[in-house]
Amino acid sequence: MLPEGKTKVTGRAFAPGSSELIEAELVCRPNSPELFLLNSADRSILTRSPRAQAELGSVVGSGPVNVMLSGGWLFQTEDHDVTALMDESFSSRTLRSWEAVRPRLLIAVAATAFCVWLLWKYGLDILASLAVAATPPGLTSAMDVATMQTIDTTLADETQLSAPLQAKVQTIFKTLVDALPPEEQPGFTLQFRKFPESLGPNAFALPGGTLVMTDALVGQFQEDPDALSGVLGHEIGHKVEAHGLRQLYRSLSVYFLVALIAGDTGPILEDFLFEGQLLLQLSHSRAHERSADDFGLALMRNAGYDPKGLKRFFATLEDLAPDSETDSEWLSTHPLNKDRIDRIDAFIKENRH
Amino acid sequence: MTPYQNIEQFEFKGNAKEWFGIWITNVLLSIVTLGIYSAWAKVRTKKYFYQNTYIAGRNFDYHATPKQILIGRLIVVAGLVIFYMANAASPLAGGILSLVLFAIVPILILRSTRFNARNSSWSNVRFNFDQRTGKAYEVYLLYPILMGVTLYTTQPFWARAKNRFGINGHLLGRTRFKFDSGVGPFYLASISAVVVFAIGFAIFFALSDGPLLLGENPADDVRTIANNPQALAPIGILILSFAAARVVYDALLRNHVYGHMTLAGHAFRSTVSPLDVLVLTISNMLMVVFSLGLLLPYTQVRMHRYWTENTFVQPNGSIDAFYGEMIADSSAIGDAYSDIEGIDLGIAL
Repeated sequence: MLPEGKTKVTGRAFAPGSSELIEAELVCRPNSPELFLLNSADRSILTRSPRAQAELGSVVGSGPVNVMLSGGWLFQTEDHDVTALMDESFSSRTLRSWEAVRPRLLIAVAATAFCVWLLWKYGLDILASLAVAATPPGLTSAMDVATMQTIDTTLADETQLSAPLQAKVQTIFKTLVDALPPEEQPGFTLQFRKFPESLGPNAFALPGGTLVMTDALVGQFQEDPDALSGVLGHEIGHKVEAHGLRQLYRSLSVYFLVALIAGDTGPILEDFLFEGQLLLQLSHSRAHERSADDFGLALMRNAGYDPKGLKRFFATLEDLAPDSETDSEWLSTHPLNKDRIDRIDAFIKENRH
Repeated sequence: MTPYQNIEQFEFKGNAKEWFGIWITNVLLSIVTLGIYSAWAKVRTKKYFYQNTYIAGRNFDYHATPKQILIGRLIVVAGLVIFYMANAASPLAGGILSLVLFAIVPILILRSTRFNARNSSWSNVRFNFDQRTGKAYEVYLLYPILMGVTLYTTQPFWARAKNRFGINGHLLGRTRFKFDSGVGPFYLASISAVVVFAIGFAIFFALSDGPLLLGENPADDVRTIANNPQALAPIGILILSFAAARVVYDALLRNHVYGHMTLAGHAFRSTVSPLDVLVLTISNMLMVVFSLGLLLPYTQVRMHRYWTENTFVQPNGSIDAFYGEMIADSSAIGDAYSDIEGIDLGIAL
């Protein structure tokens, strides 16, 4: 609080545009419409300014406070009583009182930790959902076309599956898409490509509804329509739940938020922040895989296929490339095969009754 | 008269405790407002560090308003989102946009520097930045191309060009900063950095027992690390030596550039030691990581204090003689772009 009767503060004055430092006093008498800036050495008046045209600079911490006077004079002081004399705004006073280091600041620390968690857990998903809703279907199908062009030029060859086999899988695909609610049906297409052997039996979905199956997958499961429908149902789940777009928007949001909020973290740390969030994103990717499994199981059952097919698919994957004993889930984009099989068993059990 | 008579040391009067309170409030409000408050937070941050930094008893100040910063950031975020989307939807459009972006980077750097200069002051006198756009293209487009063509052997010429461009472009009021020097010290800094990195790389190679990591299949690397966490040690040494190379380079150049910079006859000195900076950088990083970010404000103050305590001015005549008008600059697009993408002038200050 301002000591009773205090009407002046001492500090330094600068003439408009000049670097010359003048020891000075600012005199603000209560009820006086004018402020006086006095030279401390000889008590002469440097300038006078109507109170309404004098402006208190924003006050940050306990450092020097500026007062800008009419005509471009600057007064600067370490004496924070000037904030009371100059009627600091309520919002500025409130902000400063919250910034002050006192036990109450622990609330801000706890609230920050909580808000970071909240933002990570829900906020980013809400942002991503809004962005997904705002994305026109034309954009996602253009993304599909662009991605397929890239894949075709860099990675994949034309399919070598026979026409009847392709038609057979397309029929399964159509049955599944027809089992979707009508508003979800547009945009779906299924394509086949021959990928390098290291990729093995694989399939993926692009954001616009283009599904791709590798020749290796179709070849391996050509006698097992239930397994194929399980894989297709899973990929359809990715598209319906917009998992690809969500991850894109999520990492964009995190990128901007880290860049804007973390501010100057120093060179090495900044790299760690960006890489670290990618590692954490993996847990989201695994949640999406589980969610797509659940979606696919429900869809294939509604379309008349046997959910055990998907189980056979994962069992085969496990035979081809076993989850090694020490493989920990947190380094992977996909859940472990054995966990996925357990979940399918649970689903089958649940739906038997 | 000894050369160090009347020498003035830069001084930082802020403290980590007080800065922590401001910083945590900045972070909290920025998150609650989904990034909007970050514009206010930036201004408070800059003001705290500028206003508490003194030379010869007078402080610096920062004058940009949060509203300008916010508008710049909104425009840049919207632009970048459109850019990413276009890139995903059409490689052709994305390619064209990349070229456009590449072509305007020199302008963004120029604008960003000018915005920051005009909104900064020392002892009530505003800084300014005055360089021609053509010169910016020469330094940030032509030089990098020449450097690439000569397989980076001319990198020190580029470093010198950036420092000439940046420092000779700055004014305090109406008085221009001056910098010039031979290219030798720039070669010395670059070669020192390469040597430091080469030593680190040799240790990495010896320890990693051949190509253990970064093989053709990333999944194999993941498996190797999961089974055998000490496989990360060589990678750690590689990262460390990269950081050390960078720190050595920055410290050597900083000392050299300050030593050859003048403002109206006032000379500057920088006395940072590469080893000190390396120890500071690494201990700061560890503190931030193990405190889950809570010690970040402390490390920032520590670093800033180190820079200021190792920077000096040797006045030659009166420091009261600077004069300049305030030139308003409200276009914060370049500044926002450099905040988000981390580009900067690349001068050694």
